[in-house]
Amino acid sequence: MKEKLKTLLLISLVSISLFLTKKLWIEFPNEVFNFFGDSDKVYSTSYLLSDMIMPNKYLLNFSDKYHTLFYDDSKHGLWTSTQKILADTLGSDDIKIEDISDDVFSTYNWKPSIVFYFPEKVNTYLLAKALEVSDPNPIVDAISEIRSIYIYLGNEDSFFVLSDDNVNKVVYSNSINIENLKKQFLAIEQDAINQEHGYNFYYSLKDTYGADKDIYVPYEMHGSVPTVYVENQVRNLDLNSKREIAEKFLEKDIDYIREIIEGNESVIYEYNNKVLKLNVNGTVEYYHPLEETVKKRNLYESLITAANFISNNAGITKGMYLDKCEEIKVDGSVGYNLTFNYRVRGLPVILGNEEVVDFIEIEVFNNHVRSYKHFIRKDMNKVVSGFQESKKMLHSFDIIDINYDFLVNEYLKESKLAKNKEEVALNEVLSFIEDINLSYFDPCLKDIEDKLIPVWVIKSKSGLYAFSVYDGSLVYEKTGK
Amino acid sequence: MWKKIVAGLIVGIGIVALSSYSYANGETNQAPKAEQAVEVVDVTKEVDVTKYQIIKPEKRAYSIEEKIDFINGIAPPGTVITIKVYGTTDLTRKNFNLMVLPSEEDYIEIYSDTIVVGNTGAFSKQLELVTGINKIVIHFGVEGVSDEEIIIYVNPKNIKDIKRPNNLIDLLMQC
Repeated sequence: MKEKLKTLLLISLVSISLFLTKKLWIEFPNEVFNFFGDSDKVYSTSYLLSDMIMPNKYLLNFSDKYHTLFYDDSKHGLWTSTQKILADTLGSDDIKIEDISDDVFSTYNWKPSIVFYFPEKVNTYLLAKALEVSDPNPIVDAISEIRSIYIYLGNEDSFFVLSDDNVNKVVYSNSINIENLKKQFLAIEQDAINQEHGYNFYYSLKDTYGADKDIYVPYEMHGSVPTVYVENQVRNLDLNSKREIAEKFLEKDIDYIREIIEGNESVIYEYNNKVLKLNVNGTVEYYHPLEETVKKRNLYESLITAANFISNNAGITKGMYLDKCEEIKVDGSVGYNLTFNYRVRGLPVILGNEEVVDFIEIEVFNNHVRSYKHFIRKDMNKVVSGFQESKKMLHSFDIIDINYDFLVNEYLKESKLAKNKEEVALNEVLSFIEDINLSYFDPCLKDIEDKLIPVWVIKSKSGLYAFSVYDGSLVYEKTGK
Repeated sequence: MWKKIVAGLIVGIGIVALSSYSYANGETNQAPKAEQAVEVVDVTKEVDVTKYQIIKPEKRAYSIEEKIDFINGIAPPGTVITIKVYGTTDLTRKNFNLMVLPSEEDYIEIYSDTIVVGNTGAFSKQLELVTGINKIVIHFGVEGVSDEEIIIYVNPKNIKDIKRPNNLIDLLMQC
């Protein structure tokens, strides 16, 4: 009996040690290299499409004084709750659409409401299709692109405002049912007002300093940005894994595929006229020339093709989103150049690689993928010490203040005004700013344990500037100079 | 033996005292701080009071329902601004309101904060207030520029009966 007890104790100790080891590693080694694995394949295309079109920030307006903003909605699921309401509205026959001016619209932020901001303008028809609206109503014609979606959550009748930054359309419909969303909103409001759970209040630069744009910034900042380390997954793959990837992309057994290993360990695979290159710098490049001329482009079909291609070959990275969609013409064929970026722990990542600007770039001609370039960086989910995590971060107005002279110079360069620095008013410089966002900057310097730098990104008409959230130093600049 | 200990103590105290003296001396020898610099300029030239302004709030006495408020304004870079927040000793929180303001003796300091105006020439502060009457005093620290006083009456509304969503059930109901 005693021996049995000892054996049981031993087994339980071994189990506990295994469990704790897993906690320590966060992921077992085989789970780390799952980028191309089957686990991602469970997502259906419609899931991918609706997931691609996601807001990048969420402004919650509690009243004229109190606003909060967050970048990661995974905790609250406000977008998930809104998708259903939005789909009902976009598919409803009972709608009324009205125009409102920018000035009137900016006062709407004084009412209880949520505003969802997209990283770039989103095609309204595409959004409706992504939300699985089979027959979208005339809203998609009234406003063809959307930059933000406003939803009123006060005591009067609910409505949406769809805006592309120039045109604002108010949409009324009896099918708007906001009860659950409103409950979530009121719970967040209560927590924010009671200063619980680290909410920060944001204030409009227009209200506080007379800037042209209604950009919301914090003047005090609680909490910190998690420390994240990423790795170059391609370099860490062995030859067998690379061959498996080639088989997936080229849809042929490895015995039929030509393999060329370059001196720097980059590998090229060729079959027929399809080429795949796995670069040591972390990029996967695929090329398949057009077999026939594509005379008419179809965005929805192209996006579905891109979605299928990515999910079948590379798998979907959590946090991946459609950033840009440009029309292209190649050898008489018309198509789209789609650019995807990704978020880590809810924040967008800016790449500091000279050769690679975007996370995924894909050229699609309706049902044909002509080229695909994917820069693979993966969150290592490394556990960091509490000391590192508790580093105090600067708020975005601190960043403006520290770098004010630099911003004045950039403003004078862009506006080409013959003024002295001293003659430039604060609201002029603030009006030069198009947007301010919290992001990560990936310096792309190391293949393993490359630490992402949390940054405040200031966007202007001429480019973007990324400043460290800890010391305000300029870490990245991309301008049209 | 005792002589050695006493001698050692004397030398130790001497070193500590000298280092304190030199530290204090070093401080006083430093270049004048921003506040002092502003004052030096003020002696020679008249102060332009329009450069010291509170932008928000626009009113100097008002009431709000929440305990958080925000003030901002402009002042020349380097100006050291002191913001003091006073509450009242009225524990019942019923005697004072915007019509019946406390006397000076009734105020107690809740906290004080110092802000050095940065390159933008703007300053801002998110205030944490107490229920009842709050007096905010903004001191620009410049001769010729008077202090600004703001009275904020925090009158909390009834706590809303918020039914927090049970995410899973509510989401299922929604689908």
